[in-house]
Amino acid sequence: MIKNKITRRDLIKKSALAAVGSALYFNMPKIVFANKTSKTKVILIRNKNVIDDNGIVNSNIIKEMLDEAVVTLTGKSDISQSWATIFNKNDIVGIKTNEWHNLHTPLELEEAIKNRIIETGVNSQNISIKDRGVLNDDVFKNATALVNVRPIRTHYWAGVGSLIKNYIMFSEKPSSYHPDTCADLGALWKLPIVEGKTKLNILVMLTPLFHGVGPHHFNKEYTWKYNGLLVGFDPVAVDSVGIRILQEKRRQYFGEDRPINPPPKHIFIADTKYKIGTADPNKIELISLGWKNDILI
Amino acid sequence: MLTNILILYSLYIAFFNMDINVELASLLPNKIDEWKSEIPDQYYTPDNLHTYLNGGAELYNSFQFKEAICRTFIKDDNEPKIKAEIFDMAKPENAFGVFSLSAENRAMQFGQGSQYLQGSLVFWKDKYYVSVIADYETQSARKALFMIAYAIEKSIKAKGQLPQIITNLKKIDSTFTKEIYFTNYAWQNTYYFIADNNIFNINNDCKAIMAYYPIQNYNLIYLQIQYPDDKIAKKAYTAFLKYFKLPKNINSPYMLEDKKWMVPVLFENNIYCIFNGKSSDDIEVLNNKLKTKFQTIYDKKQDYTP
Repeated sequence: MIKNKITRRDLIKKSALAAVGSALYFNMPKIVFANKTSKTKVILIRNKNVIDDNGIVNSNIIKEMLDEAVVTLTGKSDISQSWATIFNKNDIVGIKTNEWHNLHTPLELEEAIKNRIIETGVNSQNISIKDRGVLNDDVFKNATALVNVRPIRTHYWAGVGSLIKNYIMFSEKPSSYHPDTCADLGALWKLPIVEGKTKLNILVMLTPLFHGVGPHHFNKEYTWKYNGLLVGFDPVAVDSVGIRILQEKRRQYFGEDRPINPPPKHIFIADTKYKIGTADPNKIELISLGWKNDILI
Repeated sequence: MLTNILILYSLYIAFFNMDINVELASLLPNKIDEWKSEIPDQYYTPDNLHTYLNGGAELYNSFQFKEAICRTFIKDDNEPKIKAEIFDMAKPENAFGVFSLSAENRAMQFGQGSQYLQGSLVFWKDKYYVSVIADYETQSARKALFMIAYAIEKSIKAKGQLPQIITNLKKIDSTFTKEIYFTNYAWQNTYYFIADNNIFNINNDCKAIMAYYPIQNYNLIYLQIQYPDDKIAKKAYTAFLKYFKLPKNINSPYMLEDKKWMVPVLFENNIYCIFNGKSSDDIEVLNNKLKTKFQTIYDKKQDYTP
């Protein structure tokens, strides 16, 4: 049973999670603690030209977007310093991507992340990019640092495919997390292979899926060019911003309030029960960079 | 002796499954114009559907899904693959349930209800939910997609009954739209956020419908749950009132914290609620229209079938 239920009243007021106790940010680099900021930073960066009309990602632009987001997130003055704040040369880094064929993590983004990590001095052999198969991958098994990167999308059973959910492949038995519409996905972040290792979370918002249809829950009709990335140290906060954008898009598309269903409660429970981060908008400092058209938040 | 029994049992299971496979496979065309089927077909059961659909499998399993076949059609390297999938949902009401939760804009072009979106066509007929989907759409793929769907539809001879709870609502007031049918609480928030947990105690023994009742420039949201008996319904109703902090003797519209009006009604083994009212009057008008007929239809519970 989940101890901390979110009531209808809580969600409508959108502020009751302010009552949540101080989260234990296991995963954040020390720089964040040093800042003693009362809010967790989430960077939203958008660029009108990052994808073309055929959906091709511009590798230079996405690299620039990533760098600008990381510089802003860390508060450092240049790109190298920023990445060096997060990774050190002795790290063994698993980049947990998402390969769902309908909407996968762009290869250009994976490559940009990998190259920046290499530039911090990490041996390229100590970096692995994977979705399925992480449990059998030596880099992931010995990882000292993880990067969590995936596109956001609505999901039949969990409400959304989120950063929290992206670690499902670290479970020996993913279906064991299905009860109560995947409420306890936050528990994944307490597995020994994961806990305390995530250094960076990137929610890809280039062409998010805001509504699902059919057995595979995908149709291009329900995606749109948002051209953004959400970047943060706190996966719950990043997801929380992501679902608010999806929700707003649904409102715009359907012309009425149409809740994401099932409710993506695993994100809130990752906050209230598993203390992985904060879902409370009042505790999130959203910094918006770049293109502002139809920002929806 | 035990070995012999196990062998016989295995043969029986194999024979039985082969029967199902043959039945499902016979509903699919082998070839459409220049599009040929790729061998072999893929089969899925409740135990392995998640290997194909991941979390999406939960939707099918929540409707007592029995078996599915997936046949892939290919033409050449310049054309996308087309996947035709048939899900045997055991009962027509389950097939409709899956369709209702999958199709936003419904038409009657195929089967007993269909939806076409670019590169994707879904429909239901009898106990089957059918999906024909192309990796991407070309003119040739679109034509083939429709022809495959047509061939499948033609090979499914029977028509299925809608869930009784929907047939009944049509008799009560048929002006509703976008109805969804479900037996799992996961879908209770489809049109309106009610709760993130199972406050109505909806399970496979229950039948539930959620629908729009259009009114002026917006929609009232209708939710009805039918329980196996009065006692279970009353218990769920009491729990719901408590969760929503509503008066125990509520019998008129009530304003919730989102400033929207609602009314809950308990009648024998049914609960229905009308949500999303912009005014008390809007709720009252619809409730008055529904109430008397509802009681006539559901009197003596003759309509509950497990």
